[in-house]
Amino acid sequence: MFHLGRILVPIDFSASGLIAANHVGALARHFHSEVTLLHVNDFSVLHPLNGPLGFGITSAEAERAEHLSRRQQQLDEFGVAELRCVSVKRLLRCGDPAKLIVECAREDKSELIFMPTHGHGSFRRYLLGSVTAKVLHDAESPVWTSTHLAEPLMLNPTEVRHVMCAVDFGPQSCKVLSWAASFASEFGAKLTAVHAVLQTPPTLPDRYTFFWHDQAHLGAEERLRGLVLDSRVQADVIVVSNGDVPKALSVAAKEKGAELLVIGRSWACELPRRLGTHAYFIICNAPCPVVSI
Amino acid sequence: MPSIKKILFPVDFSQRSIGAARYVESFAAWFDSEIMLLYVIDADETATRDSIAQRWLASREEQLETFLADEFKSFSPRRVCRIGDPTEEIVKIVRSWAPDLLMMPTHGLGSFRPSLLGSVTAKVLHDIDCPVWTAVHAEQTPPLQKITLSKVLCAVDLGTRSAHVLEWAASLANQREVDLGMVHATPILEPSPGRTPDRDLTDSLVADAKARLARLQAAAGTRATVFVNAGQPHKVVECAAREFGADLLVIGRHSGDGHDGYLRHNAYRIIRESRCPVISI
Repeated sequence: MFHLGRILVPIDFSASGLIAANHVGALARHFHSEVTLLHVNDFSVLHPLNGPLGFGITSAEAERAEHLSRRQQQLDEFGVAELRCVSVKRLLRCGDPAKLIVECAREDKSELIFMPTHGHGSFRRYLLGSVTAKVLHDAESPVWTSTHLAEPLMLNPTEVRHVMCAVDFGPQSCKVLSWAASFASEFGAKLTAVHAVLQTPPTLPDRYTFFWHDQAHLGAEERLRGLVLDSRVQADVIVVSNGDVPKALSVAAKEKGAELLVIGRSWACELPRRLGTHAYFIICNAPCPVVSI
Repeated sequence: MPSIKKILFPVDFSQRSIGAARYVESFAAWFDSEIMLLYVIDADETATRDSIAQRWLASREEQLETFLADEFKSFSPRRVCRIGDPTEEIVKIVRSWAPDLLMMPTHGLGSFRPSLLGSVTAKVLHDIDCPVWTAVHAEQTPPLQKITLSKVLCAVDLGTRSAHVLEWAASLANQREVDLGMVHATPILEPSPGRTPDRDLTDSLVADAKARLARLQAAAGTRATVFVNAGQPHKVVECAAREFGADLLVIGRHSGDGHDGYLRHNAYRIIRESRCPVISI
């Protein structure tokens, strides 16, 4: 039985925060989850950095207090309609956003951190926002992300009808696949398990091309079917190769009409439970929201 | 071809800045460069730009004036202080001053996270076109007299930009009359459980790559020591760097062959994990 008891939603009062609240509201009403709305004020410009000069400015303290009280009010009024009939806790914190989001998730024992699409900074097509990247790196719970590329396809999570789960055959693969299968089955969605192999190198001599393709694809397909069986889930199985791994998965997700992509966060990463480089770029380039476990 | 006459050095007064400064000093001495130190007060546009940040400007300018004064006394660097988004301000200066090289540590004040670049560095690498020098763990930079430039290793992927990357690295090595190496990683088929990678196939790919690299060298007029191995690019490069004794790595950063995505993830990983400094062009 899939269960999502506590969801953490970091927000910055922007429109994308409201969309996040809306989507989380739908999830929370379905699972009877408790939702924590968290806003973090980053006053770093007011704090003296390491260096010989450091001094407090008392008038800055007054301005800061006023700013915080405005933020508290905004927080109290935020997403009331979107989160109707949901048990909501509203938290205002000051400090480093990524650090506090992760801490809050840990204290709350959040089962999902739902990141809004936009942050404050400019949009860069091939990079994650810096707070999102740090949260993905440090958090212990699954994280839901949607980048700008995924915006046109941002469905209400309860309306997802096709979940794609990408596996790298690492130690987390079973766990990742099980999460994806449980989520899919909760909403009657189809599940496709996918593995990306390296594209046939363009410089490969002809006599090896078939062999390469054969070895790479058949081998991977065999392993993937085995994994699906071992995990006791129902899933279609595909193996793709199209440029590098993040690109191959992005193309596959688009072609197959996946509405949610589930991946392991430590994809192709030697350090356990760290953000693998593949995971980073898969999340960046995905045409739909991604949950990284 | 690189003539490193102008170096832009964004600083944040951290230990990493202080460490990176030793490399900036070395480069400026080797290439007779002008230096600009840039400090940006990170201000959120909506909240603090006009009020509090302005009050900090005077004190930060003073701090910048005295920062690394001894180290840079023979260079008379320009010292510029700005308020705004660090990456945007760096980009503006790159456009207006047109440095030949931007030097910055991979991480600034924030915590070190092993599989991420510092966010300002990552954005700068993404947004600008000029060559960027980076170093990981800049706070552990050796003392000035121990900083060397004796072996430059150039990583090529045999894509459309490889010739340009090789020529840039070669020109740098020639100017300092130091050794040049070249490394390439050939793809490797994931072995299925119970099967070892096919030896014939691997050897064939390596041989083919060596032939292509030889043609690249001939066209560029270089005589670099060549390292070719099958495996993941960041690992192959790291092995070659160790074997060659490289103290500088030169790689391409922007993809020129129609693939999506600047800062392709191979470049990102190499920059993140290299034991020696990396110039990405």
